[in-house]
Amino acid sequence: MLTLCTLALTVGIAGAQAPVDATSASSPHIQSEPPDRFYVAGKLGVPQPVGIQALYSLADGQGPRWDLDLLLEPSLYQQSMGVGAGFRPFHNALVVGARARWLQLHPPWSRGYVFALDSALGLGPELGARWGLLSDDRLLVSLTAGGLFSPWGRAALPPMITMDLGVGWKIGER
Amino acid sequence: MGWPRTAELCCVGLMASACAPPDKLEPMDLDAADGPVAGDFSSELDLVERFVDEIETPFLALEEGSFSGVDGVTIRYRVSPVDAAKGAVVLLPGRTEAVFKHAENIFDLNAQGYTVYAMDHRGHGASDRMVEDSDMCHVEWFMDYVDDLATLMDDVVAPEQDIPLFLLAHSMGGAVAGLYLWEHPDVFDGVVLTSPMFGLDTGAFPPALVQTLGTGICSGTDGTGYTLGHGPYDPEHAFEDTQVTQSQVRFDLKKSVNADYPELRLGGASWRWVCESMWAAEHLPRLGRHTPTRTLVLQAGDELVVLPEAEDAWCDDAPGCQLVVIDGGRHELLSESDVYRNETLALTVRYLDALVEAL
Repeated sequence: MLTLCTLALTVGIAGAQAPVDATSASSPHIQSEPPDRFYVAGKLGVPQPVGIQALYSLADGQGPRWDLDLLLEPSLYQQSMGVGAGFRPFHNALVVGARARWLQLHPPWSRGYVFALDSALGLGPELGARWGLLSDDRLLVSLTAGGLFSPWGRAALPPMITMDLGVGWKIGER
Repeated sequence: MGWPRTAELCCVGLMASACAPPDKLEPMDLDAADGPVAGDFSSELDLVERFVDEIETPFLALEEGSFSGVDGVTIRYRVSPVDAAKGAVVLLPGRTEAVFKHAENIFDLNAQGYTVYAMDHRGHGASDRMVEDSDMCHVEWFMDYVDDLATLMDDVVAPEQDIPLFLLAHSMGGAVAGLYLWEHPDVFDGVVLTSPMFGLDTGAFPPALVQTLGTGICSGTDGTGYTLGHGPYDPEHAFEDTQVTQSQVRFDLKKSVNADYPELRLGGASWRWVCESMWAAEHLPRLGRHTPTRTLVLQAGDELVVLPEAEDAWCDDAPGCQLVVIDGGRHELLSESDVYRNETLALTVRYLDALVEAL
C-alpha cells in the first residue's frame, strides 16, 4: 500500500507542477470549462476480486475536482455495494476519498447465509490516482488503496486493506 | 434461520451501548465436597500400558452410528452408554480432532455416570471429507457444523434419551456450540466449553492481513488451498513444537493413533475454513447475551491458539455463564498433563452433577 501511496503522491505532485492554465499566453482564447463526465468501470482487486462502478466526475474551472461513484462488488462469498466520494486536491490524478459499503458477509442465496449475522456497514478512507486517457479523457484508469473498517456491524470484523485497479469508459458528459 | 431471533440482536448492533448488562444467574457451586478428585480419572503415568486394553479396544467396540448431514455428507458418531446414567453428554471435538482422540475422556465421563455421544464433525475423523485432499480441514459454511449438530440432537440423541442433556465442546466445537445455543437455547440443560474458539489467534500474521487475504481468496476462489503456514498432516511434528499440550504421553498417543488409523488424521486448514471460522468468531463474542443456557467456560491459562478475551466477552454477556481459568493449562485442556486435565474433568463433572441435582 505504501508503494501505491507513494506512486499516487508522485503523480499528484508531478501533475501539480504543470497545472492547466486557461489564461496562459499560449491560449489566447478563453477556454470553456471542462465538462462533467460520466463513466462506467470495472475493477479488479482485494479483498473483493471484481466490481462494477458508475462514476460521475465533476469538474470546476481547472478540471476534474470531485468524483462520486456507486460500486457493486458481487462474489460467491463476501460481497458489497456502496458509495464513494473522491476529491482531487491538485486538479490532477491524485484522489483522496472515502467509501461506505454495505457488506454481505455471505451471499443471501447461500446455504450459510444467516440474515441476522451477515450484514455489516463498512467505512474507510481511500487514496489513489485516476488518469484520464485518450481524447477527452475517454478512458479512465484508476489505482486505489484504502482501508475498510466495520465498527458498527453485528460482527467484530477486523479491519481490511483494499487495493483496486479499475478501468472505466466515458459514456457521457455535460 | 436467523429471522426469529433477529429482533433480539438489536443489542448486538448499533444499539449495543444502549443495552443494559444482562442479569447473571447465580453461579453453580463447583466446590462440592463429594465431587470427583484427581485420582478418579485416567492418569498419563500408566496410560501407555493401559491404552490398548482400556482405551483403544473398548472404543472400537462402541456402537457407531451415522446420519446424512447437510448436503448429504455422512456424519459418524459413537455412543458410549452407561446404565442408570445421570445424564447424556454430547461431546464435540476441536479442529483436526477425531472422537477417537477423546476416548480417554469418554470413558472417564462414563465412570462418572454419564452416557456419551461423540460426533466427528464433517471433514473430521470418521465423517466424510468434502475435498479430495483428506488431510485438509475444510468446510463450505460454518453453519453446516451447527446444522449437523442439530440433526444429531433431533434425530438421534433426543429420541433416545429422556435424561438431562449436556454438551461438552472443545475449541472449534465450542464455536459450533455457541452458534447452536444461540439458535436452540432450550435443548441442553447445561454446557461445558473448554477453550472455545470464540476468537482466532492469527499468530505472526496480523488479523487485518488474514482477513483481507482470506476474504479475497474466498471471494475469488473456492478456498480449497491451504492457508498461510498450513499444509498436509505432518507425522514428524515434534512435541517440542506443539503449543496445545504439555503432555508428551498424550501427544505421542495421538500421533500413534493417527499412524494406525490414517483415515482419521487431519492436517492444516483450507482458506475457506479460515474464512468461515473468522466469520463465526466475528459474531460469537456478541452472541453471549442471547444465550441463556447454563454454561461453564474453562479457559486455558497458557492459551496460544484462541483468544481468551473473546471467551471473556462471550461469558460476561451470557446470563448463564461462569468462567474458570485453568492456570498454566494449554489449549487442549482435555488432552493436557494430568494436573490440568484432572482439574478440567473435575470441574466438568462437578458442574454437571450440580446441574443434575438442581433439575
